[in-house]
Parts: sequence; C-alpha cells; structure tokens
Amino acid sequence: MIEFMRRFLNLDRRIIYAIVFFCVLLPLIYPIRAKFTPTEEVKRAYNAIEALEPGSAIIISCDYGPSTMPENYTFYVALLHQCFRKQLRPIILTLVDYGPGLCLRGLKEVLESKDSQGKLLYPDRQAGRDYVFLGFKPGSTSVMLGIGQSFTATFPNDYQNQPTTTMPIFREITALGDCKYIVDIAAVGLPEFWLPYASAREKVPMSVNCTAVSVAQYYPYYTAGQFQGLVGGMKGSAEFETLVGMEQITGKIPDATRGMPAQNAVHIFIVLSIILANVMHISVRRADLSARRAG
Amino acid sequence: MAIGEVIGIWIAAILTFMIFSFLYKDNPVFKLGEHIFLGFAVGYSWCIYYWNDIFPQAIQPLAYPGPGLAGNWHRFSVLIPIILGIFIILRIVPSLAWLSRNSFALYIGGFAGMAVPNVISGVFLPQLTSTIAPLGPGWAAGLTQFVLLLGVFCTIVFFFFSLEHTGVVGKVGRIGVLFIMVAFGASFGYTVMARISLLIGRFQFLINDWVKGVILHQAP
Repeated sequence: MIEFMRRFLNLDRRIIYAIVFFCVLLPLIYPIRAKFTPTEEVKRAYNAIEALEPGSAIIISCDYGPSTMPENYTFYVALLHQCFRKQLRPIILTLVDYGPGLCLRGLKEVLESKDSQGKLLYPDRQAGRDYVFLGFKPGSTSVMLGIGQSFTATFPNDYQNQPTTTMPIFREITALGDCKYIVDIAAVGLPEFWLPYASAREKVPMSVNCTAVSVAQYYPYYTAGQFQGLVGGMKGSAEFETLVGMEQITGKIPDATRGMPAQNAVHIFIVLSIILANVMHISVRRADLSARRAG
Repeated sequence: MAIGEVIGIWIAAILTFMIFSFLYKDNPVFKLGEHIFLGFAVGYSWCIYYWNDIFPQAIQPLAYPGPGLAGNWHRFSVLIPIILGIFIILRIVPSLAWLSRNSFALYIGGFAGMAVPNVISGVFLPQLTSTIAPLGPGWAAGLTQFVLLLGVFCTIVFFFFSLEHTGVVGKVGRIGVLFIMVAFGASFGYTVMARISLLIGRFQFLINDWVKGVILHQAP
C-alpha cells in the first residue's frame, strides 16, 4: 500500500493534465445545468445599475484582453443588455491597447441580438445618441482626469472617427461628473486608478468586474463601500448573466453560465487531489519514520 | 460564415494546439506558436498606438492639420511633448542620456502631484475609516470587524522591524503570519479558478467555433 502511495505521489504531471482535460471537456460536450445563487457582491452591482433612471449615462471601461474573455467579455455582453434594456446610455472606452476590438465585437453582438421571433431587441439605438464607443487612449490616469473635465476635449473623435462635439449625447453629458455610474471591466490593475481619479474625485459610484486572480485584491474596496459591487471571475459573470436574464433574452445558455459545470468539475478534482495527496504524504512519512526507528 | 472568418478560426485553433503542446513537453512547435504570438502582439500594439495616439496627437496637427487647424499656430504646442518624448528615447545615446532626466523629472513631478491628494482622499482615508469602523451592528458584523482589525494590527506588527520579534511582539507577529497565509491561500485559490476559466474559454472556442461552426457547419 505504501509503495502504491509512493508511486501515486510521484505521478506524471501529464496524467493530471489529462484528467483536468476531461473534467473540462465532458461538461462542455454534455451540458449539465449548474444551480447557483447570485452572491451579494454581484447583486449589489446589478441592483445599483438597475436603480438608475432611464437616460442616465454610464461609463463602461473595458480594460481587458482576449486572454480573459471567459471572465470579462461575458460580463460586458450581459451589462450591455442590461443597459440597453433599461434605456441607459453607455459611454464605452478602453484604456488598454488590446481592448478596442473586443469592445466593438461585444457592442455589435448586443445590437444585433434578436428575440425568439427574429426581431432586433434594440432596433432604435443610435450611436452618438443612445451610446458611444470612444475607443482607446493611452495614459490611463490622464484620460480619467481628462474626461473629468470634458469628454469632447479628451476624445475629439469616437472610434469610428466621428467628431464627438456634434453628438447629441455629449450635449447633456459634458464630463464624467454628469454620468451616474462607472463600471470598470478589468483584467489589469485599473480599478485602483478609476477609484481615486474618477469615482472618488467626481463622486460617481462604481462597480468592478475583474478576473478571479484580482478578487482578493479588490475585496477591501468592496467592504469599505468604495466599490458598490464586485463581480469576480467567471462565476461572478455567470451570476450576473442570471440576474440580467441572458438565457431568456438570447434564448440560449450564456457562455459563463455554460462554463460553470466544467469549473465545478475541475474544482472538485483539485480539492480531492489535495486531500488525497496530503493523506498519502502523511502516511508515507509516518511509514518512513517507523521504518527508520525500527532499524 | 465568411471565408475570412473560417480561415481566422482555423489559424486560432491550430495556434491553440501549438501552445497546448507544451503540456506534453517543451517543443519547437510550442516555441513557434509563442514567437508568432509575441510578434503579432507587438505589431498589433504598435498599430493601435500609432493610429490612436501618435498619428492624431503628434503627426496630424503638424503635417496634416486640415482646414480647421491650418492657420492656428496653437497646433505647434504639440512640439513640446514630442521633444520631451524624444529626450526619453535619447537614453540610448550615452552622451545625450542626461536630457531624459528633464522629461522624467516633469513626468514624476506631475504624476506625484496628481497622485498624492487623489490617492489620500480617494483610497487611503476611506480604507482607514473602514478598518477602524465601530463594531457591529449585530454580533456577526461585529466579529467580522474585530477579525479585520486584528488581522491588520498583527500583520503590521509582523512587518515592523524596529523591534526584535521576541516575546509579545513575536507572538503577535506570528498571528500576523497566519493572516498573511490565509490571504495567500485565498489569492491562490482565486488564481486557480481564473486559470481554469481561461482553459474553459479556449475549450468553448474549440468546441463551438471550430468543431461545431467550421467543421460540422452547425449554427452557433
């Protein structure tokens, strides 16, 4: 038995990779519905946006890239659906160079989404009036401070090179202080910049969607009430999708929700592996100690 | 599906497998995939920076001002940041490297001036207020607040090196280590979760876009 344990503890890592491979693959091929209740952190973000008056402007900063799409892009799409359904006016921008393509893709996906009868869900939304995509600008803090003064001076043109000065949305919403909410969708450390240079400075409440890696880092801001909501990782995005009702809107299981059974399967495997490996490690160590004492 | 999209999905799928091949062992196919990625990432970033920033902010006002700006001498003010930027690049010339200090001094001075009041009022003070908030309401919230305060205090003591870590200070510092370990554990757990999410994302792409969309021609 001890010999078996010894061999098990020196298992080839490729076998572990293979098990993780099947733990991810099987739930995606044969979908199982994972039930989960939205957590308080996610509910607060959703409720804060839901409570905004129709016509309110909301800043969405997409500070993530393709590598974190399963965690951030899924939230971005759900958030845009919530904004358009609530008739909020999203002002979308990105402070990372790999962001513009993903911002545009998500925006197109939501604007082109159809109901079960094949009709566009948001047919009357007009760029420059109901929403705007400003594109990318480097120098994150300068941009935040810049839009605190004026949107049109900081972004003279939007991503499609249309002058922002002639856009109806910027006749009423001249600077960040006129917006009612900020949502930073981040794979990088930018929420820690949005907080002092935009949210606290202009007194505009904010919520954050971040990768799971960053959740522990941002919890102190959430518990202090500086972030009204904290949507962390794929799980947070799946919870947000549930609150927005993405399945009812699009007629299919949204990506983050669909990924959760695979996430659960891998987590169960990891937890079991940790317990098993520790039990075996202690048993082997005890056996070695007794053998040494015996002679 | 457009032919361009099909080709794009095939390239993405092949590159994904090239990178995944590292899981078996390091190999030239993985290295090739890695280099392709790096090359494209740098090229893409350069284009984005050029067309979103360098061209409209620096080149356009000087070389292609357009009818609105042509007679406006104000446009030449962009020469100041351009020259300061060139000074930074001059670090590669040893005899002229000293020029970069002016740019850095301006940048650091400006940024520090901007950061100090904003970070103190926007981050530091609210965090301090939240840490020393009154206990409660209710025993559960009170206990949470007490554990938070204890954790902060013990961790600070652990990083306080002006006193020798023996006796009471050593014991308090050891409690601080426990809090740090719990924080590391939580961070590591979240990191594992994040990495698995990324793997799921890749698998979703391979199953939905590549196998179902391109190979089996199924609707998404």
